[in-house]
Amino acid sequence: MSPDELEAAVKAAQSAGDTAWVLTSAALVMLMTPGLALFYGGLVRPKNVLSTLMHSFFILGLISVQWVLWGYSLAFGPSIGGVIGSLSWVGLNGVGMEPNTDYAATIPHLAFMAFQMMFAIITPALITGAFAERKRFKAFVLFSLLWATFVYAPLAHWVWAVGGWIRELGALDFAGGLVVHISSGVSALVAATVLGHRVGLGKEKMEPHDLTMTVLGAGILWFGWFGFNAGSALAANGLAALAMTTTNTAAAMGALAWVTVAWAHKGHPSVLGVAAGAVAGLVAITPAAGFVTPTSAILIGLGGGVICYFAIQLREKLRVDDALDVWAVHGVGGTWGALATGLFATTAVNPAGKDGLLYGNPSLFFIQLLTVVVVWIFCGVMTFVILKIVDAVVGLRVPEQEEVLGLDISQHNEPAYQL
Amino acid sequence: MDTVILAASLISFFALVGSWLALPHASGTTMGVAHAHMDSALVA
Repeated sequence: MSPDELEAAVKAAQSAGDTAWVLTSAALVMLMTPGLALFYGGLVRPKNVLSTLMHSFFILGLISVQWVLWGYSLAFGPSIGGVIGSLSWVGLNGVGMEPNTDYAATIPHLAFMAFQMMFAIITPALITGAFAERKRFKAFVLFSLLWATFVYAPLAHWVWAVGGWIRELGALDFAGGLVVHISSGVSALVAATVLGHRVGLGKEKMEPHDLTMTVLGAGILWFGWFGFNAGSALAANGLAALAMTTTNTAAAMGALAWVTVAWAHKGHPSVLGVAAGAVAGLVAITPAAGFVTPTSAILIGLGGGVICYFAIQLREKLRVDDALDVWAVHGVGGTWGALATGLFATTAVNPAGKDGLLYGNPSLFFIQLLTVVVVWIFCGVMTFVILKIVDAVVGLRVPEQEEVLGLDISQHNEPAYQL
Repeated sequence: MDTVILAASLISFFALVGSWLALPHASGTTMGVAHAHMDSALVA
């Protein structure tokens, strides 16, 4: 075999390995949305479990089609002023089996598109936890479609697309701290505020109806998160191995930290706490996964578990009925993760990244802080506007008697359990 | 800096382990009371 033939064979093998990993990661991230459905489904009352499952499953269909038709083009198409992608890739026109070297040089462009599709799906699904048990199904559908188009796509473009203005600014977001978690968490807070409390809040018990379902969902989320973060290396390489290690480490520490804080606060080591804490740790490490060391991931996970727990206490004091605490876990956890990236990032583990404040580069921390503020404002304002439009068109909430009856029957005419 | 972060990680982990030994055993009675006042899914 000549040197040229050997080089070609090596490149082909590398491409095959990278493609296999990214496609597998796309499948892992896809599984997170049904996992989220179970996580949320267990937390609601039995009369609303199907409607809660339906939110995630319906979004899996809705955004899959939206992404192929125009979502991917808006998010990753050729940039218009760093603000939004052009419509030149509508219907995946020109998105084929050859690599797009701007994004991933060793995998088919379609593989990159499919991987990103799964992120676009789960992000609006995360928001549904805020308006669980009271939102009209039509309103949920219209809101999700508008939000994916006018919030998610521009934000993904700003942060990840070639020419996106936040990417050009130098902010780091390895797998979606800004794009997925802060965006969904802040939007959830706005949605919960605009929709108002569930009927009977504070007067009747609103306990999780099936924590076994929730813990199973958390396990699936943890599993899928390996694709979310390690897949974001877009190659089967050392960076993916680093991201998988930091991801698991932060999830573990988040789980331990949440349980400990809750134990000290409430007097018992909560099973729900270990599940929620793992998710908090996963959220926190998401923007940092490929830029920090495993020991930094321990501290980031610790912060995720503790900070998100106290964010829930704050949210309760504010009397905002973010039913499944999307803001506290994703909004606050994502914010901590984005800022922690500015603290702990080191080029020693990823030369393509940057050093953070603790490694002698305070400018990265301030860039991260600036982008966090911008994303909070953008998502908050846009979500408020979209909710008002949806309210005017179809009405946001179900009538009170339908809410009391439960959304499974009133919205879907199907009971979850035949007891 | 890596050494400082390693030390902080070790301290935080052993602080958690130590707190588990120090924290009281849970009581089913108090758990019932805690649930009765719960209006948020994630604060069980």
